[in-house]
Amino acid sequence: MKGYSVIGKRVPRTDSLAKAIGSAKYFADITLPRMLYGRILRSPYPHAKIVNIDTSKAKALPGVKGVVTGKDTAGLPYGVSSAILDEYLLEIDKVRFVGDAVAAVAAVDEDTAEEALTLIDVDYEILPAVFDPFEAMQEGAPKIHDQVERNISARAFMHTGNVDQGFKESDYVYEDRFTFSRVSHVQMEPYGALASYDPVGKLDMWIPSSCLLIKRTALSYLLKMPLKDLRLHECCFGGHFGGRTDCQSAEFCAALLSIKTQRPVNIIYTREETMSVSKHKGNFVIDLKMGIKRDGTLVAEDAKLVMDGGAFASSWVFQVWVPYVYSEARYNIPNHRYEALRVYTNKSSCSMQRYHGDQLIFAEEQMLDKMAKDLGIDPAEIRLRNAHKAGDVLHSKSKITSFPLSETIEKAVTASEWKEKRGKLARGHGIGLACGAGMTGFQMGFRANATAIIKFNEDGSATLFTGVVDVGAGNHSMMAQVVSEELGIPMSDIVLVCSDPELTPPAPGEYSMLAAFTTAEAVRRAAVDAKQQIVKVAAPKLDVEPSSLELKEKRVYVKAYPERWIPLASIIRAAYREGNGIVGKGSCTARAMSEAGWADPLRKKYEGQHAAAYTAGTTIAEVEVDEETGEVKVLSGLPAWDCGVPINPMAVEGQWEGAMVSALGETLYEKHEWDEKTGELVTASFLDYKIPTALDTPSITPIIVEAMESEGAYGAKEAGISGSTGVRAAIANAIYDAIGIQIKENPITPEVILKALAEKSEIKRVK
Amino acid sequence: MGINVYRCLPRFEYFAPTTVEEACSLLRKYGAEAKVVAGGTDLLVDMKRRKSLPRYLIGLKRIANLNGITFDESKGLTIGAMVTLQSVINSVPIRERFGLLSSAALKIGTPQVRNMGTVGGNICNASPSADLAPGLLVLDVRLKLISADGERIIPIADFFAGPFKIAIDEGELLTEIQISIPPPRSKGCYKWVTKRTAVDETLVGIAALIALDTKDNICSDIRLGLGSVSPTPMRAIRAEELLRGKRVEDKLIKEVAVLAAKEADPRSRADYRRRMTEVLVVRAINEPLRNIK
Amino acid sequence: MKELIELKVNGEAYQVSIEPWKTLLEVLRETLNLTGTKEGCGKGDCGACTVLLDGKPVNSCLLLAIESQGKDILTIEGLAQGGQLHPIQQAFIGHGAIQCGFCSPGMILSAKALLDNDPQPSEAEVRQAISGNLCRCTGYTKIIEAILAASKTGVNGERI
Repeated sequence: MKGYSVIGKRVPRTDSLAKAIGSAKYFADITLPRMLYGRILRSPYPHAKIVNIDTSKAKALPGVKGVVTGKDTAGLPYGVSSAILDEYLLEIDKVRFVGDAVAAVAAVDEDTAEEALTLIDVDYEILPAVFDPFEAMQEGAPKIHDQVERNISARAFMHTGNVDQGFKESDYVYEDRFTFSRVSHVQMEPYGALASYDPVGKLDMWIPSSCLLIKRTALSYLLKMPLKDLRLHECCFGGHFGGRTDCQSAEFCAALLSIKTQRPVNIIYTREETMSVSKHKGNFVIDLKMGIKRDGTLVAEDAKLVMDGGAFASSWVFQVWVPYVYSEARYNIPNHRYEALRVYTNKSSCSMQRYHGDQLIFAEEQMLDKMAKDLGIDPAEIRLRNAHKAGDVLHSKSKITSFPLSETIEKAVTASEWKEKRGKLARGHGIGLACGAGMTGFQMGFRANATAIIKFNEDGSATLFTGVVDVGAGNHSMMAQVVSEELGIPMSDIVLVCSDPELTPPAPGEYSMLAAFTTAEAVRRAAVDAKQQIVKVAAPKLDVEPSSLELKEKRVYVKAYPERWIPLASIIRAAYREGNGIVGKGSCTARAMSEAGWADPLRKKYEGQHAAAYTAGTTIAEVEVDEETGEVKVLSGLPAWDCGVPINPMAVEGQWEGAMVSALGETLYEKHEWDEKTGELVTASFLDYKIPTALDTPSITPIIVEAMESEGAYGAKEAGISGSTGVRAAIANAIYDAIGIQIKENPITPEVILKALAEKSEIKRVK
Repeated sequence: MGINVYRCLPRFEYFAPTTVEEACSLLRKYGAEAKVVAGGTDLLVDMKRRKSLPRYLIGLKRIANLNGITFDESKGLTIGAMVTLQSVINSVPIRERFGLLSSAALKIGTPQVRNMGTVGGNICNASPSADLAPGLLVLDVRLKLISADGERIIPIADFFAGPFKIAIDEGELLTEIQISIPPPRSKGCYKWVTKRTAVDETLVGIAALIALDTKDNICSDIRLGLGSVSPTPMRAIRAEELLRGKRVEDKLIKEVAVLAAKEADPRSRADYRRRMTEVLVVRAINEPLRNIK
Repeated sequence: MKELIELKVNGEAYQVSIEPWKTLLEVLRETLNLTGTKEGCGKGDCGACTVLLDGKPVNSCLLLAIESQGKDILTIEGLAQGGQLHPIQQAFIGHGAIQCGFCSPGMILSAKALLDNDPQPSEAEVRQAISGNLCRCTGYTKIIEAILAASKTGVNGERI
């Protein structure tokens, strides 16, 4: 990226200092006067009617100030979309998974709140429960939601061309089934919420979130409180990865208790609660069939997916569409059928997750490696032959603008010494490659808009008001970079007021992958707007046209004669004196994203622009497999990915390094398990659920491939999903190179390796 | 049991004795309602989970004389029960003469846990997957237990009574671990695989001590300690007998490993555990053999 | 029954009245309002609660406050001296080693304990030293870069 002073530079983030010295405040760090501590009573049964709740003994315990149950609510169900409201954040009639919220208490200290929970008596009528999605879809299976047939919460379907004909035309056809385990996002910050209701009628809240706006809307509806009385505050958030967009029982119960007691209430989950009742990432059973010609061109793909969605819908239809988005984006496959079902089961429910969709990629990319082997074509080459490129129109009629997939393959191949290594390393040592894609934005109606405002202090420093959320990826700092670039103010002279629905204009939440693409663009427009006002005021004072002026180092100077300048501060004050205070405003909505999209319940066909833009990339992994123990060690990780252009390359690298290690964990180590009898999650703590430590991973060496995206700010797309969706498959393909076997289940534990070795497991060729 | 929603420890009364006598007398007084707390890394976790609910907690950190490591060519090694795992790792005599214990201690937990957890606590927690136990069994250590009635010294093999159960009397306190010098021309090692990640519970842990008569390559002594493959850590006695007094060769080592795997009695992931026992016994025997001069 | 205890935190002596079942983590955060130390799991697995006790990294969530008397306790708030950041803090900021920041206080203190003991560690030694600090955001790459960079700077800011 050329010609910029701040954009495209490796700048330290604005939020790092507070975090490095321990002064950054997360919701659990906040103490308010007369604050109470809350705890939630959770169902021990996976499926049961609530017959009666006796809270009298709990209420009588000294120190307990409030107890609430479902009867204390307006009785309204929650949903990520108003199209599917199926979740009671405090259950009224029945519980649907072990951990479902049944009652909540607030007390003067945590010991008392914990004791009070043991004094609440609940009578349950146990109902039969179902844990497997295929069983749940059977005739006669327990109905988890009364109005839903066969426990199916969502379906996605698309058929382009004719797959049966396509398989006839294929020279080689492959077919196999792939299964995956449930995993958690594992944000390091345990979930919870702080609520503070004051008697005048305003409710202040601090909730870990990817978007305070949508939580405000949901809580306003559930609590029957006008939006203006609900004040959600920005604070530091300890990770999100797609799992903190949904409202959970914490904020709902904290609000109810605070309203009841008229005191602040802080509910902080244990790690076990966070792992059990916060959202999971959905796991699929995938039946995949693909056909290819001898010359290496793909002809047909037929994918059937069944996802275990848990007890509630969450972002339901999105979860079954996203895998298709990446599937159709990467390769040109003329005949393509896709069907995905999301099924209810009596377990914790699943939300979106950062690299959700990578399970289908795992299946497809391994199939491609098998095809490459059978056809005698290099795996990188076979992908180059089928890769989509900028300008292509996909089956859904989505148009791809920038999409440097081929370039990422070539760069990854060069940087990793692929040609010297693939097929040539010692037995047990392998290198693998996989291509992935990411989506920048999706259709989200009016929520696709970002608007930003910039105001100035009389010393020339500026305040930016933007709805952007930073859950750790660096979004706040990115906005400061944009303002700094356009207005020539050092980043340290920019105050950020972010994501506070009361103070800031809206922006798509961090779940949307639109922070760089849309929100930064809105901020850029606001800065340009302010700049135009500034130069208009300054021009007569310097006796030039406004277009002759530029801003740098808090000065307004004449481009042709830089020694002629006025301090920005003077212009700000002059503007006030002249009756026209400078306030910059910018607004932006990505093309086609203001459609209602998948969430539109009236929608019959699913064609249309599924993402505002697409990111593409190639991940390469090298592994070492101990064939006696089955242990897999990842020796190196190289994500060669596209994010459009990087606004802060250091932040983009950090995203991809983190994504690779997180996905490595899911691929090799992470697996949720339930007690078959009680339905309880047995892997709820870090004792039983392990994420990678610094000893489990190599250093990751990302390569940023630039591809200007005209619609995004400075050409940027996104760096939240990019870098992540190809990791799982790259590791599997490296294992294939190392020991000649392919994997059909996840996580890839040592036992899975030994079993695959014994069976000489490879993807089945059926023609 | 339901989801753990407890962030706080349960309530208890706390004592901080400064002598072993005081501690023993408290233990006798409060009996089953009391527990001693050493490093806290096992007990406090159980208490937060509400698996353990002692009304009285007897802290051992203020008792003098439980923190020492002493080494003497004739008497051998003495480790105080309150010696931290990190102190074991830092100890030069342990690293030089009882290296398999250093390796085992380094496997346990995290750097933070190793600064807090104690040798005595690790032994008395008696987890089937404990990492020190196989090495201590192989080194034939003796444990010193003190009560108001006096003291007794027992071989460690008699101490593990079952998963998380030890053969300790009410009112008794473990104060010292005594280890004799290993046989001449012997070396040991500790090999393991974990359940999942590198910092994780051990799935199979094998400690081996081999003494070699280098003149004719005869194994003069071999001891194999198996961890996490049976309800309590164990010695693979029959497997040892296969090799003891015989000439060392690959085929025989393999037989030893196969028999050790048969002696193991794993419950969960049993097939994989038996298989790993075989693999690791071979590795645990071969590595020290390379280092014996 | 509350007991009066004295804790020495970041060079200052505090007299606090607490129940014996309160952990050092709870007392630091709730009684002393030093919220830089975090609770990530409460069970000694994640390291977010790491503080230095006489220079050694420990999990404050598993230490009884009552047993933490007579020790020098260092929390993240005590690291910067007189407004001057510690080289490790500077390196973390400069190398992009902080994302959501929740693991950072514990991570920085584990790094300090390492460099105080071993000013020139290898990458493997750095990984071992932070193996008890979980991070889900960064993948550890920039954290390790930052610690190695800080080790070249020297703990007193001098270049080695």
